[in-house]
Amino acid sequence: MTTQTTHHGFAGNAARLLVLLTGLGLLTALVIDQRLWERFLPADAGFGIVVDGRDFRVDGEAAEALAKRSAGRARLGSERADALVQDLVAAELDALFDDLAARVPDYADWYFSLKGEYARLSMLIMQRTGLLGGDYLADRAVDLIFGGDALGDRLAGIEERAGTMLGVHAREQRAAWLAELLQLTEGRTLAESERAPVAVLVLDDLAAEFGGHGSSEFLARLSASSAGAGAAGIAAPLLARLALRPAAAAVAGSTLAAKSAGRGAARAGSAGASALGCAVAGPAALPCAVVVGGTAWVAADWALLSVDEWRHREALIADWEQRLTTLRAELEEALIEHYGQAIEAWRKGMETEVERTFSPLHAIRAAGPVGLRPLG
Amino acid sequence: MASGQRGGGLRDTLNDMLWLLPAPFLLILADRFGPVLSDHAFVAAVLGTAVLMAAGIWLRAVVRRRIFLAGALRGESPWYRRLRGGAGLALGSLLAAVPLAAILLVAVIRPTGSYLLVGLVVNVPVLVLLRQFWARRLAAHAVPRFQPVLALRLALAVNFLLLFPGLALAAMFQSYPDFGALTLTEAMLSEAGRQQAESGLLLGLMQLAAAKDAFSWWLGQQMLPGAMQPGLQFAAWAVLLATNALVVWSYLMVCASVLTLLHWRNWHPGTGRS
Repeated sequence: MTTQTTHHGFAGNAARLLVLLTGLGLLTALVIDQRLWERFLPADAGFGIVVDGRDFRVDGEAAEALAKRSAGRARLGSERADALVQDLVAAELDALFDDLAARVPDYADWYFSLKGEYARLSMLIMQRTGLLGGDYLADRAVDLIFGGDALGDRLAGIEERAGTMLGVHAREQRAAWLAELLQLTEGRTLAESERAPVAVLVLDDLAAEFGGHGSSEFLARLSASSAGAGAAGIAAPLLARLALRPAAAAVAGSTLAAKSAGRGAARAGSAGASALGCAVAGPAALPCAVVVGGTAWVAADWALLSVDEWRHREALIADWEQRLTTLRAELEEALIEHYGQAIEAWRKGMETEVERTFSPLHAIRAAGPVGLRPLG
Repeated sequence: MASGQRGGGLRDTLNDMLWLLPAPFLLILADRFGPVLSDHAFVAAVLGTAVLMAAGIWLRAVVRRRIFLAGALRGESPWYRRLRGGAGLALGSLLAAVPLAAILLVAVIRPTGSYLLVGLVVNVPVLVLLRQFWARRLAAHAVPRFQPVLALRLALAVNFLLLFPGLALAAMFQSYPDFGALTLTEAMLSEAGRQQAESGLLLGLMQLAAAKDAFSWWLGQQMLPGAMQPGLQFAAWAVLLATNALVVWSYLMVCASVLTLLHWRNWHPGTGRS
């Protein structure tokens, strides 16, 4: 009798243990494995997508695809923006520096003219005597080759066109992303049901991020990308450095002071010799000497300048063309870095927003509850 | 006979575990279908859970009161009968149970990782085994009429010390949204905005809980030294731990109440002094 009771107790306990373990296993499986729910419940309620005043309901797979496409679109969009900016900067700088190079002969004309010679001499004397500061030759070069403030206007124009181009590109990005979204959801949209989506993904912030928050915001970001400096601000220190850079040929080969001293001796000799011929003029010898001597001085100076131009003009032009080539490379690098920082900020903003917007896909259980409020 | 007693003890243990299984199952259902509950259904769920929890809370309060009265008052004193714990204590228990029930339901309905529910399921045999352990340990020490509830109380305390750190540890391995690029306000609003529920009341509670979580996550992601005042960080962690502790304690209250109702006759200390 006792044996039988024990046997019954064992069987009952074994059955209870089996039920308990099954129950624990089933409950754990219900929590972990979503497929069990899908067997008992209607199809996946999917994810709600709200964007641009429209709402969709897509399954989890499509939502995942959207997340991936959005991340890819952010990456591709920024890469495309980089390429566009590089092309635009290269084209703009080509046009700008072609114009600048065309002005170098004008600068050479001035440099080897009597007017330029005497202006330089005057400024040299004034600088030596402390009446004038700065570098007259550099300022004149900036005026004649770079057109003074006109260069700043040209660079501001580049800045504006780059900003506009990037703003347009961002809008195109947004439109392309929206079109891609529609294409992805087409045919995969779940029928509206009483069940609520697992989560509602509101993509309006992401759309705004793709669109660069509009051109004005994009331009503000451009300015912020290099501590408030625009293209003109970037160019200014490069230009200053360029103008102060020692010349390779013309200027260095015959420094202004040395040339002036040499020419002075030649002019004085020429003027003196010419004035001696006026001795025969008697009472008119003095005015004759002044006129003839002055004319001989200027003629000698002109002749010497012509010789100097013949010897050094090409070298001066070549030197300035070399300077412009260097300036162009430095300016291109600085501008691309400037815009690159803004594009990088845009890319990071898009990626952060993509991650934030689609985080429920990873954080929330895959199939879901239900119900809720109608979308939109 | 001895064999039969051992089988009976094991049977009671298994029965207790089986009776406890509906508790995590109902919470899993709440997790699944909570967002579609209407206001009335949610309030009913909270009240139902609170009434269930109140049974266990009330019995433990009664035992605590009786222990105090047994040491402080004469048995023939009329105050013994008046203070032994009745409707007033039951109402107090119910009032304490309502917020706990709401916290528990909101915690399981909100989208979280599966670790919480798995932890609740796994805890079923743990609580029963702990109660059995303490019942045996207290058999030679505690007054018999108070012994079952004292054993339950000790089991709950030890179970809490196991479950709370366990869930906190599991939570560390979950993935959370990156709030590094957002302000605190944006993070809280963003997280609150992701909550979805049919019931406006439930939605509000879920948004509050989500904002609280975002607050803690955001502070946790501010890695720069000096970026945050230590006091504020401590407050954030304290809020997070306190609310998590309340969730764990609430669940243990539900389980304890199920066991209390199962063994009501045996565990109730009775109306008399002895």
